[in-house]
Amino acid sequence: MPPRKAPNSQRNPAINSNADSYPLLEVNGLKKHFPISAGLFSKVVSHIKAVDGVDFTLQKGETLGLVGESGCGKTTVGRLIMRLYAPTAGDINFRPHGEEGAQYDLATLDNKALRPVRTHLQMIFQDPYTSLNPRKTILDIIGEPLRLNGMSRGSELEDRVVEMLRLVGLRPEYITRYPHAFSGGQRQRIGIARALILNPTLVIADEPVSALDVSVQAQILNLLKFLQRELDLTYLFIAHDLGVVKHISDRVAVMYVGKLVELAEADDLYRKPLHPYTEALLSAVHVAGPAHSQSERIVLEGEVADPSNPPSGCYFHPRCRYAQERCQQETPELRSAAENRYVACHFADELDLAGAGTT
Amino acid sequence: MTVQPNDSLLEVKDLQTHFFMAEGVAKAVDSTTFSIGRGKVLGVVGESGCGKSVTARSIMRMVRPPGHTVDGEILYSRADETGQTTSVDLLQLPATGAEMRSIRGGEISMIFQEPRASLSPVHRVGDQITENILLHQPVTPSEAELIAIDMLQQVHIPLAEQRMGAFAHQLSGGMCQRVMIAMALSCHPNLLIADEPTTALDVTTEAQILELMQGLQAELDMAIMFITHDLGVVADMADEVAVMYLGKIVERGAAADIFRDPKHPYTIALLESLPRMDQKRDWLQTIRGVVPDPYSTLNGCPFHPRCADSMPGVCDEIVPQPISLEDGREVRCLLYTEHATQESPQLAEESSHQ
Repeated sequence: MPPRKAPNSQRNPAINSNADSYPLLEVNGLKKHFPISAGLFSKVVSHIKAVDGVDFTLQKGETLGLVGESGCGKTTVGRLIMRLYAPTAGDINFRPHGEEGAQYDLATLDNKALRPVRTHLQMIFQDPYTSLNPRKTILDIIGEPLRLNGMSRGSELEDRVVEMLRLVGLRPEYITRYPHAFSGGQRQRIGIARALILNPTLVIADEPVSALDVSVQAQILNLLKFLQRELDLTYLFIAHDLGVVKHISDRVAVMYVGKLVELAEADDLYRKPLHPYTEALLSAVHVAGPAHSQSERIVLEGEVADPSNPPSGCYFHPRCRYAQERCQQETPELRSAAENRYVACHFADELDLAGAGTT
Repeated sequence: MTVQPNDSLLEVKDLQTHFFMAEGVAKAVDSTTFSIGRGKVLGVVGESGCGKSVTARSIMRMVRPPGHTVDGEILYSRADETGQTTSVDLLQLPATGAEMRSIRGGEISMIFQEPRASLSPVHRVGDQITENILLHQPVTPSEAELIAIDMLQQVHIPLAEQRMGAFAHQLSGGMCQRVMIAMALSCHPNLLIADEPTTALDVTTEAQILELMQGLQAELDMAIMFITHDLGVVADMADEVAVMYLGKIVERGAAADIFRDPKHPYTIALLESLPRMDQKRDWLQTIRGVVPDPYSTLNGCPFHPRCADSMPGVCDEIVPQPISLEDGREVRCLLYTEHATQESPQLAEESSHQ
């Protein structure tokens, strides 16, 4: 169990100074277009560009937060990496066996070739109520990955499950119970145990705490951090809650309509965002403190652009309060703005944007 | 900041709404007392299952069996025919009677968490709004339609006239919530009960809806009971805050005071457990254990098994009653009574925190 109070340890050592760190995952030009069909013969009339050219790398041992509003494609990115969807374009290079080890392009592997690689990739889901089979015991649920991969069986499997239960802070005697006997937070611990039992390298957590109450959310966030240190895990943490993402992430990527608009170290991004959309997102967060403890709130006009028919130029320009004529015509590419900072905005160097008040 | 009794719009006294289930009696709302002043915003916060929604439904008299409001008073001040303000106890009115029906939706209206689920999927949104107007106001159908279009414009729905003919599935979540707000406000209620109105929405849409609600509240001089689990939203919206735990209000006071200096250990712990953008902490403070199931019969303070400052022999035996502190604060905690000083004097100091 993670301690209730903070031990005096440093935050994850800086991303690149870590001798152990190397790009575990490199995503280049990743795209996923879902066809929209209509008419008698289901002719494909257009595409929803759910993910439309995403590039990032994940260093071994770090947590990358992926934020954005619903429909921006953040969950699709997670599912593409898991190869629950086949990408339309792009490659996903994954090195689970260390820097010198074999590299797999997850985007092109077929199902058979994927199987051994998949044990290194696991996912934690949002809703602890629907992601556990109600007819299976905890032993079956947590032990299933081991059984499926033929890694252990019988009492050996049971021992591993008990060990996992202890690790995530559940009592071993719960092993024969069914999911309905557990609260939301406990179920999420079960989901985490199931994800970690194969000893994965990369864990994709898709909104793992957004269905939980605040007090339970804090327990699960602490648990995820504790497990990361214990098991040397790398997280892709997908969420919409900017406070949660700041807390857990080393670096943060902001997505808008299928593209990354900004990618930076968490502290930098929150202190001084470079993209107007990041600024608006940060200003929309309500801080639980005495009133007026935050800067002016930017209320965006209109709604998120339609990914099947996005606006011309920069997708954000119809809602951007700094938009100029160039923004309507030219699509900005994600470019390096400073060390470890990437932004997709024509005017990132000129704008002086407000961050979240850091004290 | 406390509301004087004479300008309070709604006074809830010792409200008890229980659910009679096969597993036992769940005391969803257990002797809850609060009041809302005219034109004020009361924020009700708490985790799921704390009884905040049932409190709202009890006021609207919309609790369905097996739930029953077994005791208490809900005094609502309304103007009678002669213009005199009289106070009616909503619990004494038949829930489906003419008077309650004219209050519900007319003078007290409610917006719900899931906007799409609370609109009819088979009726045009315009018809749903006009239906409410026709029920509560002496107008003709064509006048009602004009009022409805005006309301849609007030909640910033573009092309309001065309949107009158839209169905819920043709609108986005934010748009549906605007329609709900337009419907709730179409009869100029004195009190709007908003039950997690922005929880299902994205942050940027949430900011739009909250700004809209604040604007309309000031314009129409309406009181709002704002129910949410989001402490950040409450800090921004509310004049007064009530924190609920297991059917009881454990702390109540002016929003600014509660966020600056929380008194109840539960409020303190809730605020500490939030990851914050303006602070850097390695580990979050957590509250041990989980919310007990509603059928459990706990002795003493309902929070004592999870409380970091629990006093053995005191908190597990004595049920704390609301205690008035300075600045109009009310807190249900034995740390602020003589029990604390008798048992261990340092505890009260520790809990007052920072």
